Amino acid sequence: VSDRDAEFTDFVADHGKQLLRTACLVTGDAHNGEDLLQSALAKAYGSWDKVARAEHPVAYVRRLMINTHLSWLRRLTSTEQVLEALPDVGTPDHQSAHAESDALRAALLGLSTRVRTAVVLRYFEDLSEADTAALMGCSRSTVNNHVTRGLAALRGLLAPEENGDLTTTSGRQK
Amino acid sequence: VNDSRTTQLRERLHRLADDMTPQLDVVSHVRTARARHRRRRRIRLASFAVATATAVAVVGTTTVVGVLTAGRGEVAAPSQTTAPSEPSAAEEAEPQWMEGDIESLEMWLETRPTEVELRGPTELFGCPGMTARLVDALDISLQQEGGTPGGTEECTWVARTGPAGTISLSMGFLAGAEQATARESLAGSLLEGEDEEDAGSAYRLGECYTTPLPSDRVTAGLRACSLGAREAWAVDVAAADGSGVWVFTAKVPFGLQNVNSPSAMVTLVDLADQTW
Repeated sequence: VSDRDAEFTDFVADHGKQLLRTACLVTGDAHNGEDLLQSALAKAYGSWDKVARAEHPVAYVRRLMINTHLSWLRRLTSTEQVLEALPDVGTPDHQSAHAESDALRAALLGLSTRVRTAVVLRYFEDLSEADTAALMGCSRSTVNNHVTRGLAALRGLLAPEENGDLTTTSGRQK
Repeated sequence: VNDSRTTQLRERLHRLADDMTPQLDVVSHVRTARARHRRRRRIRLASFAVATATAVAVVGTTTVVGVLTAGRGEVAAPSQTTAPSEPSAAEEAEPQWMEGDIESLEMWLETRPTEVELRGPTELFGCPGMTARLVDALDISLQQEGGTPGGTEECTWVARTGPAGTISLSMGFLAGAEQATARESLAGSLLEGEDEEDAGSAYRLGECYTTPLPSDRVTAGLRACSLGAREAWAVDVAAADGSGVWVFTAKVPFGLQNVNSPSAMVTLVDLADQTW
């Protein structure tokens, strides 16, 4: 086994799970998440020297993954429109053993891909607004708009006993 | 209220990730990543073979139009005809002197915050303005060689790097050109005026490699040739509005510490992308 293969294997063992979790959330699907991670890992393997030399190799591969994801979006606009028509946020499947997760997953799938990606990067990866904007190739105000829209759509799932508005002020800022 | 809700969202996203995410099979992921990488390389080589075959057909039946060398106000006229030739054995694999370079370029394309989206220029180039920005970006002393203050369709720059040789860069737009034709017209221009005896002997003059850049993010191709002591790169990028093809070239001596062909190319494309 070459040094490159050994290092790459260690990287996947150490960070693959976290990257896969993000991939599953931004795609809204386990199978698509695995495929997205695979695409990013194949690109990373092809330029492993560069990835390994990066200041934050995980952030580098995450950037590869998000760029690939957003490129898929551009190529699959019609599919994205189908996903937008998935079940209502307010009608989770109560027969499911994971009704709560199902409801959140359905709600996430109801968001546009860019809004979903922004929400996941901000509140799952805990990236700052600036870092999210840099990763998505857009301005901070665009990220703020995406997140505001996303949180508004998810409002019914969060603390349903309250009716206050969500805002984006509580995300970690760098 | 906001903090509690965003905290709640974080927690629920993590629970959802727990529920959704399958077990990670490290061995399988590593094996598949290697296989995908090798498949991409094979596709690139196959694409090269197709491109070469196409080039033989195109060059054999048409003349190469010297669009790049046509100045403002001049009519782009047939400049030279390159004799048809069979691909040499040296062209069928990525040459040693390019090892890792294409991956570097691909990674830059894949990790850029935004896609390269060049449109056709709405006015002629302002070369002097771009010279200062190139000097800043590359940190070398470049002189503008071609292009006029009033505007042009191509800018060229040179930098003397002492005994190591000369760096030559150019940026041009071929209005109305097809990408495949533009790429092939570049093949001859990269070697124009190069003399094997003067070029040194690091690698064989004229060893060339052509490949589309396999990226989802931009339609681009690369033609690279060894000039002996230097390498010559040409990258073509289709204009997003379909108005033509952008062409960037870099001739850089082998072995420089601070500049190489991929970095020069990235700088040129970035500059164009910021401008158009």
